[in-house]
Amino acid sequence: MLSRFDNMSNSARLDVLQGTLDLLILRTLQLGAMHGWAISERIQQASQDVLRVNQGSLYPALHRLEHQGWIAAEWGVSELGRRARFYTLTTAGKKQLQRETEAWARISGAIAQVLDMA
Amino acid sequence: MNWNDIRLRLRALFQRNGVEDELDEEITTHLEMQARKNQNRGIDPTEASRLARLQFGSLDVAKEECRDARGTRLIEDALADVRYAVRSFWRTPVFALTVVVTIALPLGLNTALFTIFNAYVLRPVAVSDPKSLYQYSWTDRRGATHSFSWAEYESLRDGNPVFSEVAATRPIFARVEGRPLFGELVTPNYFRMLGVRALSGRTFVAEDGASAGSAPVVVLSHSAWQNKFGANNDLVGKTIVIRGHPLEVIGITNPEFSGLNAKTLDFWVPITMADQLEDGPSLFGPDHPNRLDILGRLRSGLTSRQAEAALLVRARHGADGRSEDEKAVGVLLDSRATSIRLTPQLVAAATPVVAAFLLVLCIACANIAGMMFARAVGRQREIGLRLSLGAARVRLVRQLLTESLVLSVPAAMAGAALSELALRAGQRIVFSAMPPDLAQIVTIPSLGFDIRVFGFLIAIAASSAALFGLAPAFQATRLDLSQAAKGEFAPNMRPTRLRNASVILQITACVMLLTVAGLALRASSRMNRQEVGFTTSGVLEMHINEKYRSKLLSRLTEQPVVEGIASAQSIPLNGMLLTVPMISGEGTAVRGSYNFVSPTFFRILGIPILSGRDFSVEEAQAGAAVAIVSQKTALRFWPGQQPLGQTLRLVPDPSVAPGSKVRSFPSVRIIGVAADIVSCCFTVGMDPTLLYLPTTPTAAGTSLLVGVHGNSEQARHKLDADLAAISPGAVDQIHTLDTFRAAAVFPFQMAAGVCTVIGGLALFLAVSGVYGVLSYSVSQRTREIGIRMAIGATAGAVARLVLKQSMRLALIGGMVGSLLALAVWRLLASRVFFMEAFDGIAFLIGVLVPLAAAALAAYAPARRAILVDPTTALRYD
Repeated sequence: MLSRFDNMSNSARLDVLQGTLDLLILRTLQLGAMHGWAISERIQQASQDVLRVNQGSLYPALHRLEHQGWIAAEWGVSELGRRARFYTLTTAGKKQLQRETEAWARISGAIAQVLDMA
Repeated sequence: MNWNDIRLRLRALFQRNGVEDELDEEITTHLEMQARKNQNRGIDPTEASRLARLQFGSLDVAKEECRDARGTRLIEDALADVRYAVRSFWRTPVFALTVVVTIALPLGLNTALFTIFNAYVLRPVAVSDPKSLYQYSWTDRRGATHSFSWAEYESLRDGNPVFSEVAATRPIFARVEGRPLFGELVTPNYFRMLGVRALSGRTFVAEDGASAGSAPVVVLSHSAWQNKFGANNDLVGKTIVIRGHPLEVIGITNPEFSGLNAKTLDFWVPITMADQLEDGPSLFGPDHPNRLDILGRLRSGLTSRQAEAALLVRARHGADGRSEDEKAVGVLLDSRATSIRLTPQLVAAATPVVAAFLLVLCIACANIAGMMFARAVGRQREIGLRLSLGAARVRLVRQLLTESLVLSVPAAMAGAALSELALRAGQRIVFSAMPPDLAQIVTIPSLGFDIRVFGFLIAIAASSAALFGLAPAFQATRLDLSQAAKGEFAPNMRPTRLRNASVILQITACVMLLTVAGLALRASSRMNRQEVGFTTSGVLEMHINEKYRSKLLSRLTEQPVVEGIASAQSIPLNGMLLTVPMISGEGTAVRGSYNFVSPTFFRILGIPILSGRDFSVEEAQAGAAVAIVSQKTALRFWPGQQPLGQTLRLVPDPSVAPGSKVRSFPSVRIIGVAADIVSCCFTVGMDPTLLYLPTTPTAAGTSLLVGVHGNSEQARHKLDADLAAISPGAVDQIHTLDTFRAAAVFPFQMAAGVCTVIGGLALFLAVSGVYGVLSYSVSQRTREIGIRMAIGATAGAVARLVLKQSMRLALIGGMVGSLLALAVWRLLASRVFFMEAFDGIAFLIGVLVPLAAAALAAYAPARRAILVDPTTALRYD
């Protein structure tokens, strides 16, 4: 999927690619239980505002991961005192994160090598 | 898919509202947080919320994607469709009810047919591991099937590479207290090998068959205990007399088991009792008679193919002493997993019946397709709107199909109930229409509703739903969107074509089925009136246990009710006669039927001797080389010549059994010509060739024909009782010849009855179909009719308009249907002699009744058309 530039934001920001969103969510949840908004904020912060999570596709991704059994959801109370759905990484999710991280490292390394070739 | 996934999916399905609320809440929380973040940047609250919404993107798209992520979309949609369908049918109960009844009738009939088929052909017999059970035999060069001697059984039992266990069986017939009982002589391992237990008492143990003549015991089937011994609780331990021999009842089998064949068995006796109960040379004696059937359980891991190969080698090896003709050339391994094997012959015989039943179902489907379509057209606005708003056509087709399926559920339930009803009523009718003697012999297996019938019902209900739902669904959703947007939906569709096709189809099938029903009915009534060439009243047929023959013969002649006694090898109207090739002079061999009859046979049966004379007693006793031929036979061999004094050579070929009596008649001199009779059966009619050879009532193997005074049924009861008092169990069989005749006609009467039911149902469905389509068409054409009337059309002209539409379709259907019926008749005529003549009346009735019915069905719609008020009609819509 092509990344789209959002007219609202800085042109240097990139939408998170579909396939990598799952990886980023899993990695973010390694830090602890979080609700959806916090996950998107966290990704944005950690990438120093370079990556921007398309909020519309965040929740479908979360639900998909939940169905895969990689994350679990539980209702808790947010910092605002409102009910919020907190996601945590499951054991299966941790393994998956490891697998995906390795795969990503291989791919990005390979891409870097190809780019360096020139 | 993992457990977690399944849990979540189930939750999504069954707590849909909860899951949706949670999703809403989750997204609302998200938006609030985003809004607060925006606010913290110094944006005012209203703008902050708006911005948060913008940053999120389309809420609905996100929610839809979340729903997709649940993976329950298809089911949710289907459930929504079902709910929608149920609601809309709830509002139109008459429509829903009409559809359900229309489809339930043929569904019920087809299910009933399948239930019968299942009971005989599909349901495994109630024994352990039925699939490994086979009956073993081999054929020799003459094509004869080998029966086994006791020694052969012992050799198979003591060692063979194919079967893990073998049992020998032999059918046996007995009359107990006037009731016919069918049983089997079996080796004592029979029940243990089959895994059949006793309901009370016990089955056989090895000691029961330890030596010849041992263990005078009998095991009764549950059905015999129920139906023939009045479910008497202390029957076990009692003694019953079978073929003149007292046997102790030691047990009753479980209700599920009544033998391996289609015929329900009544009793089993150890085979070591064979010599006591059977005629002929001793089974265990030096003659080694070949009488046994071999039942074997195939060793596990062997295919029947491999087993056949191994058995063929074994059969040839063991045939050293036999003549070339009698050696095994092929092995038969017949599966005993079900009571009737599904052979190509069975399929061929069943196909026309199945086709007729399915055709009725098709009529109903065509009928309903018309109704469903009319309904869909009434919903053009809704459908057009949804299509214009971007609904996928597939989605709409699916919704319309769901509606059909929703209707098929109550239809299937009603069908199951109807099937049960039809089977019960059918059994009662069959048994009450049957000659009473036959009713004693015929048994019907339990026609239960099991998993296979259930599966069939589901499959056939679903496929008929698809059949009547698919075409209307596709037609109704084929819309021109630009017209739909303007509110005009109709012109692009070709509804008339589909509806007309459905009416033509219904009439065609109806005409065909009714014509065939008419042909069958008239043929069976012709059979009833048919002269068979001999008298059946006042004659009894008797089969006597050979041991008692001479004793009973002498006592029989003393009975005042007896007018005369004759005997014959084959009883007329009791099926095929034996045949032998016959040659006259230098002519070619003609395979002709023959029968051995005693002097007085012709007198007792009232068959005129047209020329020449009857056999003399001396000729009969000496077995003189003389013969009497039927008139047709005389014409066939000696056209235009004097048959008397001619010589006919009988040249037995390998198909004639080695010990056959006909082999002692190499050539015969014709001494008489008898009138033709229907000797074999009603399908054949007067026998084309029939040669009578002489025998006597004392000769073994012949049946007695006893002429009696007065009422033959009364005479039958009296003789039976008197002879039973002299020698109990000596009379194997005693029937009136009228019974033979009734039994021969009976299958045709039943077939005609079934045809009539099917044809009647087809007529009912076709009439309702024509009525439905015409009513609908009149309501659609109200405006057109109004205009016609406004510009001066008379009531008669309008009525003609409607009638013409109906008659045009009916005529096309009538023509095609008659042509199809003609083809079916040609087929039937080639098989059944009584259908050979062209029956114009049946064809006429077959066409006229549906046509008249179609005209009648058009009456109400035509009347409604006449009553259309032009002023209202023009304002309509």
